Amino acid sequence: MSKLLIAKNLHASTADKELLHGIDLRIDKGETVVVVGPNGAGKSTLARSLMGVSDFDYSGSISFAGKDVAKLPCEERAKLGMFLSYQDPVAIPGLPVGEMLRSTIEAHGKKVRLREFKLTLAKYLEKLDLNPFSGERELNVDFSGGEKKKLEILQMLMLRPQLAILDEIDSGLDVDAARLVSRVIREYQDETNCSLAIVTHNMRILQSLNVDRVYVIRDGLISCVGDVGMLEDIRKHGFKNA
Amino acid sequence: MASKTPKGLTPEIVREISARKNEPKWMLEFRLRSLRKYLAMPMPSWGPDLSELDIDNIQSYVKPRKEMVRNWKDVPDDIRQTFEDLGIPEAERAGLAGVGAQFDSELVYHNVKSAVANQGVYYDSIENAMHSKYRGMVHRYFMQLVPPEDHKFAALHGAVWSGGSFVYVPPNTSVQFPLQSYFRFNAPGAGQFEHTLIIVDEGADLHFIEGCSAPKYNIANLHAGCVEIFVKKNASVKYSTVENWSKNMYNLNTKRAIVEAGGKMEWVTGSFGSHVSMLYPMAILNGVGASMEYTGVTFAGEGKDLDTGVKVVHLAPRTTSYINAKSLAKDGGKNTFRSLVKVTGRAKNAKSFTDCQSLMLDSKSTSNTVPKFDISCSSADIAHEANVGKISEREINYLRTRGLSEDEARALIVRGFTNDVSKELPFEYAAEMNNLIRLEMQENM
Repeated sequence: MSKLLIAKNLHASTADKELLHGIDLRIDKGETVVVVGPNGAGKSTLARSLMGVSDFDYSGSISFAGKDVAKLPCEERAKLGMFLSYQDPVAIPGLPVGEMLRSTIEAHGKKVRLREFKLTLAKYLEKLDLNPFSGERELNVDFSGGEKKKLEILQMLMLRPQLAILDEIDSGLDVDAARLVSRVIREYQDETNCSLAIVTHNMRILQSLNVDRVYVIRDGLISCVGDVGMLEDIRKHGFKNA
Repeated sequence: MASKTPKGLTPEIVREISARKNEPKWMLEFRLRSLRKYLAMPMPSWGPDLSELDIDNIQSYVKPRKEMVRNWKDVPDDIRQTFEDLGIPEAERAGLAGVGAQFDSELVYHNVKSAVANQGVYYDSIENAMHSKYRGMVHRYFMQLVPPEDHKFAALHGAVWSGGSFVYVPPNTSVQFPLQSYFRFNAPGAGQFEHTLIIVDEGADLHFIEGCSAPKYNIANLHAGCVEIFVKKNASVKYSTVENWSKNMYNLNTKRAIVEAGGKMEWVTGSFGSHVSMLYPMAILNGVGASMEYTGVTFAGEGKDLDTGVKVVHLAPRTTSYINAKSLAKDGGKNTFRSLVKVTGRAKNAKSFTDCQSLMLDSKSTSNTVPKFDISCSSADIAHEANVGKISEREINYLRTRGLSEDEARALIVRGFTNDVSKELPFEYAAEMNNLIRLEMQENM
């Protein structure tokens, strides 16, 4: 498999604290990589660092699709095909979901044909079992926690990234919704051969997915890299052996 | 006769304007009475600084080169091109019941679709109305809601008004498409004083749209128009304005409606331009169950002092008012939201809710909220919410991770903030308003 993303010696810090202490990570094209770890290990920081969200200082190298993206702002990484779903999606009062998506697709340099856009949006809303009028509602305002997570997946489906970094996408989803979202992600991956970086604590989202590699993160460092079998061990024994 | 009156204001100028319009005697007397009031009244001692507005230096009347026409092709080429650029005839074709286009002091074009005229709707210049079968109505209603004694600029308006529209909608008539007046101000150093008089009879409804713009000059221009709306029993009027005056404009406009029992008045306002604005649309709720809604957005960019708001007077039982005001300030702009909710002792069980939100786009701009409540009825239900906020980094970062630049993210967040207003407007005007927001956001970036 060809390499899609390679991060080397990745550090992230705030003004007074280093949160990631030199992480190496690789994601190949079409691959599903899982990042697990106990609370506070640095999982979300790693997800945000890969995307380049500007709330930390970073150092280290990141290449994506053969390009050095370490110095690129997150919007440029998004345009190259990276996507981050948020653990806590941000509410933007007054801004309809559909309008945000249309503007974003245009920002990616793609022409939006309104009729086609509406049909696609309706198709994905139905697929995710979201209210058909969700596109007219304000982004992440008055949606339930589970619906907000589905809206993150909706954005992924509409923006069609090569790499989706999904940060705790299953938190807030009930059992049926987690199964549905897992299946939708799998279908998208089958359709596009995209790569997935799944940051998860409770691992429910993995049920429909074929995991290629598992990274265990502890105290801002990768403590262990293994295959899908390692997840079974973690389920049984927690992180004490990882 | 010269096409412009001399600068400054004298009884001779007022007589000249009146003579040009071949006005009845009562109107000339009204103008002269207004002039006396104007000369006797002081400048406002509150609100934005008006010290640089030298009214003696303002041209009160500028006549276009041609009389008003009813065929778009007959409008002089350069004036027609100005309105073509503003999309006026296109909007008329797209879905307006009638259009009036004013260039400086006079209407240059006025037309109403035959289907609407056949309903008995009258829409014409106020000058023509004064000589039509509606002359009695003009006499009875003209400046009754906004008398010259109201304030100095109302008196000025009464003395030198010119242009504007008269609308009469007969009882139980629903005007399916909006009527629109567009005011274009092209003469440097001049004043525009159009008068809009709307009477919507019992059980009828109307949507009226007003658009305003002007190019920028180095000397002050003054807009002191006046809008009076009479909403009869169970009638309903929506009055929408998208205003984009240039940065040298003093926009001291007065808008007022009186609403009878069961009637409804809706103000929808987008204020983007002018150097100084003082604009507070008002509704007098005069009959049982009358209501008013105000939805407005004001965007104060660099060098702008926009003092806007709304006033409502509850005079009758079970009257209701809802005020939803949004303001944005950027690049040192100054916004002041000023409101008055007055509930008299007769207005039993009146309800009023004011929601006022301000968004600061940087730390050098100013946003003030000055609400005033004068409640004389113990059964009134009055609520007020206000907040001033900034765009959060979290919101910007969220949109940036989707592929929007920081500026694009800010503009989209602002559009969301103002969506309440744009969704109240017909599509073309919502698009124009969004475009004005985009231009404001781009300025100085």
